[in-house]
Amino acid sequence: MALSRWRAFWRNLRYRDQVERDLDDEMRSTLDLLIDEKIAAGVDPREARRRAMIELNRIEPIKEQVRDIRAGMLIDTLIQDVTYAWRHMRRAPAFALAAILTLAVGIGANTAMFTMLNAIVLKRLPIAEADKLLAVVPINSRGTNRTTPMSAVAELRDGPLDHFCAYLGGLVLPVLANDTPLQTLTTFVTSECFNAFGIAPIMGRGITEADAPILGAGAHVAVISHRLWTTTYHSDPSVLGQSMLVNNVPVTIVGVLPMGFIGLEFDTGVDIFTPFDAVLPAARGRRQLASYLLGRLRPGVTVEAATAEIEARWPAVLEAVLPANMAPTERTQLMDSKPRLMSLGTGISRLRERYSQPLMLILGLTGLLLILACINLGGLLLSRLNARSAELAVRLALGGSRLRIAQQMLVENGMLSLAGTLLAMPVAYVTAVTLASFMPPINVPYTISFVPDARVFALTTAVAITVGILMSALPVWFATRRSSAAVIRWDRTIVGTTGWWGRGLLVSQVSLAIVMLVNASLLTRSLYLLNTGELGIRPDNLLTVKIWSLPRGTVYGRADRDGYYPPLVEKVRALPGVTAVALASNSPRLSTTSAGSPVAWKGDAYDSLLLANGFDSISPAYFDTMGIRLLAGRDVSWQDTMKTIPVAVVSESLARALQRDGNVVGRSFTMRTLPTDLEFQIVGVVSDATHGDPRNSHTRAIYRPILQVGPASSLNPNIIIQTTDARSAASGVRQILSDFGRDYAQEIISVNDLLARAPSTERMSATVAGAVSAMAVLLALIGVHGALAYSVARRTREIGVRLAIGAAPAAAARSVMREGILVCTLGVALGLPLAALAARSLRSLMFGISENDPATFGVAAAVFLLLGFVAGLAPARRAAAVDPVIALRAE
Amino acid sequence: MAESRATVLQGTLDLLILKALSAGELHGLGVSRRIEQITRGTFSVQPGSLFPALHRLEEAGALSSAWQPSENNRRAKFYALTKAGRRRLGDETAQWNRVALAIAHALET
Repeated sequence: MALSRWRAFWRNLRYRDQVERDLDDEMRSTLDLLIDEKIAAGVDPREARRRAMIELNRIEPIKEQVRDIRAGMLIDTLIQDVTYAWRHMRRAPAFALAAILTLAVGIGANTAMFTMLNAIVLKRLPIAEADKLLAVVPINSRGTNRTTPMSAVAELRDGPLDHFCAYLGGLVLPVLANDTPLQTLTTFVTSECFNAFGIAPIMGRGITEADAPILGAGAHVAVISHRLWTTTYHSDPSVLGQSMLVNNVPVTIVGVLPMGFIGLEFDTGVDIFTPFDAVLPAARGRRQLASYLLGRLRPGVTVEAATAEIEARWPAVLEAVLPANMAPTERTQLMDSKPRLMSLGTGISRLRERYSQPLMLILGLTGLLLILACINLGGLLLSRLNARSAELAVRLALGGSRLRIAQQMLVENGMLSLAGTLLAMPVAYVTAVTLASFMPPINVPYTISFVPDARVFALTTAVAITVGILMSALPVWFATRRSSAAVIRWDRTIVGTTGWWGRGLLVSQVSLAIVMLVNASLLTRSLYLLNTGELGIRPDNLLTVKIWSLPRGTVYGRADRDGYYPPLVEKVRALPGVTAVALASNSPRLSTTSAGSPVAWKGDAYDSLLLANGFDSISPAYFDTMGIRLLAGRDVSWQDTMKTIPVAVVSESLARALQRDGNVVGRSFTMRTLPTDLEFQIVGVVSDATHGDPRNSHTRAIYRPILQVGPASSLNPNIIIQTTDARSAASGVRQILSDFGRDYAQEIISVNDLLARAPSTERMSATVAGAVSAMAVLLALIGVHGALAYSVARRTREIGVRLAIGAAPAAAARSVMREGILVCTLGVALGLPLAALAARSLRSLMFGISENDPATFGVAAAVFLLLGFVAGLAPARRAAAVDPVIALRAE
Repeated sequence: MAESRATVLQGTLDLLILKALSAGELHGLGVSRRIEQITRGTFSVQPGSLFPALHRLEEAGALSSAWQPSENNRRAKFYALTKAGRRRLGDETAQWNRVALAIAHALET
C-alpha cells in the first residue's frame, strides 16, 4: 500500500502534465457518457447536454477535489504557488525589493540583538549538567561578600555539594609561555575543581590533592587550556613537563584541558590553572581567599535542602577558618553572613551584569521596529490586494477555493519573508560585531563569539514565520472574506479612500514610530549630557600609558618600586613638550565600588552609611596632572613609603562626610577591609573628580601614595602624561620603558578617547535606539506616502469626475493632504502617552534629563505632523494634476 | 428519501465502490449507476465525491485503471479491482458486517 502510494507520488510529480491530461479526458468522457445516457433515454441531444452539464455541476471544482487527494499534492501546489509568486514579484520588482529590504533590516536588527543577548547573557558553560554547578556565596546585610577563606573547602567537603572546591578566578598575571609574553588570565583551584566541572584533561593530569594542599603552599604546576596549547604551543604533544613563567615563578605544565573549556570567566576565559599559594604567595599566617566555593549538587538533593544544610553548618565553618587575629567587629560582621547557593551554570560575566538590561531594552526596540515593518508591509499588501481584486474575483468566480487563494498569498508572503531573512543573516552578524566594538576593552581580549548557533537560527526562523503570518493576516482575511460579486463591483466603484483598516494601520504605525523616536531622543540627549557633563578633571592634552611587566623583567619588590618609579617619572617628565607626569593605579578611571567600604575616625565604630567608594594609588603631582585642585594639606610625596606611616589624601566629599566642616587634615581614620582594617592619616583634601562618569560627581575617594601600597596588589600603574606633543611623548615613553627593561607600554591612548569609551552602555543604547528610530520614522513616511499615493491612484476616476463637474484642482489636493495630516495627528495623539509609558522603563539609563522632558516630546510630535505634511505633498500634486478626460477614459 | 440519497455514510463510499467493481470493471459513471442499482436507489454518489474516491483508491493500490472503448464505443477510463482491492473488499465487508450486527443489536435492546 505504502509502495503504491509512493509510486503514485512519483508519477504525479514526474508526469504531472500527463496526469492532468488524463483527468481532463476522464471528465470529458464522463460528460459524453452522461449525454449518451440521456439521449438513449429519449431526451433531445441539446437538452441532454444541458442536463448532463447541470448534473456534473461544475467540472473544475471536481478536478480540484481530485487533485487535492493526490499524493504529493502539497508539493505540487507549492511549486505552482512559488512560480506564480515569482512571476508576480517580477512584475512589481520595486515592491518586492522594498519589502525584502524592509524585512532584512527588521529581522536583521532583531537577530543581531538576539545574537548579542545569546552570546553575552544566555550562553551556558560548555559542561555537562551546568545547572548543577553551584557556588556558596555568603551574603551579609549589605549585599554580596564573595570572599571566604579557601580553607572553608575542607570544612564542607562532606556537605551537600559533591567535588567541593575553591576557585579564585581571573587574575591578570604576567606570563611567559613558550618564550611568548601573554596577556591572559590565571586561576587558582583546589584538587576537586575539574571534577566539579565534570571535565578531565585530554593530556596529562589535573591538579591533585598533593599539588594543592588546603594548608601550606601549592606545588609549582599548571594545567593549561586547549586554546593556549593550540595557539602558543602549536599543539605540541610534548608540552607536558615544559616550564612556563607565571608571575615570574616557574611552573611545570602537567595537563591540557579539553577544547572549549576556559573556566568560569565567560568574558575572557582562563588559560592557566594553578594551585593556590603557588605563584602568588599568601600573606603570612593567612589562607588565600577564594572567589567561589563551588561544587556539584549531589544526586537527589534539592537546592533548598542543600542551602539549609550549609546554612546550619556555616557558623562552625567560619569559626574554624577565620583567622584568630581578626578584629572582633569584622568577625561579627562575617559571622552574620548567610550562605546562599548561586548557580554557576552561566559562568561569571561582568559584561552580562552590565549589558543585560540595555540589551533587553534594545531587543524590545528592534522588536517594535519589526512589528512596524510588518504593519507597513501588511498595509502595502492590502493596497496591492485591492489592485488585484479583479484577478481575485475572476479566480473566485471560476471556482477557485478561498483556501487555495489564502494559501497562495501565504506562499507569496512567505517567500518575501524568506528572502528578507536570508539577507538579514549577514546584516545581523555585521551589526552584532559592530555593536560589540562599543564594549569597553579590558586588559585581556574578549572571547565572546557572535557566530550564530542553533538558538539564533531557531529564533530567526520563528521570527521569519511570524512575520510572514503577521503581514499576511489582514490581506488574507480580506481576500477570503469578500464575495466574488462584491469584488468585481468594488473595482468599478468610483469612491475608495484608504479605508478604515488602512487608516488604522497607518495610525498605529505612526504611534509606534513616535514611541521609538521619543525614547531614542531621550537616550541620545542623556548621552550628550554625560559626555559634556562636569568632570572635575582636565582631560585635554593628557595621555595615559598602560604598562605591563616584561615576562623576564626584574622581579617585583618593595625596594625595587622605591628605586624604580621616581626615576621613571623623572625621565618621562624631561621629554620635550611634557608639562606634568604622574602614576596612578586606576585613573583616569577611578576604581569605584557601588557598595563602598566603611570608614570611621580611628577608634570610632563603623557606621553603615559612612562609606568610601573611590580608590586609587598615586604618585606625587597626580592632582596637578589631572587638574584636580588641592584644597587643604599637602600632596603625597615620594617620601611616603612602607617605612613611614600610611597616609591618604581624600576627596572633598569624603572629608565632609567624615566631618561636616571638612577640616580633616592631620587626623587618622580606619577603613574596613579584609583581611585587616587599614589605618590612614589624612594629609590632604582635594576637589571632587568624576573620572569620566558625571553621575558619580561626588565620589568619596581615597588616594594613597603608590609606594605605600603593598606589592600584593602588583598590577602596574598607568603613566599619565600632560603634553602638548602626544606623538613624541608616546615614542619617548616607550624608549624610556625599554631602557629600564622592566615593563613595556601595552597601550597609549589620550584620556579624552578613554573617557569617551566610558559610558559604553549608554552609547550603545543611544546609537542603536537612534538608528532604529530613524528607520521607524522612514518606515512611517513610506507607509503614509504609499497609502496616500495609492489612494490617489485609485480615486483617479472619482477625482476626474469631480474636476469634470467643476471642482477646483486645489480642493482635490487639499483632501489628500488632509488625509495625511489626519492620520499623523491621530498617530501622535495615540503615540505620545505610549512613549511616556515606555520612557519610564529607561529611567535608569538617563542622566540629567527627565523621562517626561517636554521639549523632546514636543519635537517628536512636530516631526510627525511635518511627516504627515511631507508624505502628502507628492500625492496631492498628482491629484491636482489629474486630467478629467484621461481619467474617465482610463477604464 | 431525498436526504438519504444525498448522504453516503462516512466510510461506506469506499466499500460501495469496491463492491460495485467486484462484478467487473466499470468507468466512473458506470460505478455511480451501479451503486444506485445495488443500493436500490438509496445512495446516489455525487461526481464531486466519486472521482476523488476513485483516484484515492487507485493511488492506494486497490484499483487499477485503463482506457478502453465503452459499450457505445466511446473512449472511457475503466476501473478494476486489484488483488489488494479484492482483499480490502473482503476485510471491509467483514468489518461492516460486524458493525452492522452490533448496531442492530444495540438498537433492538
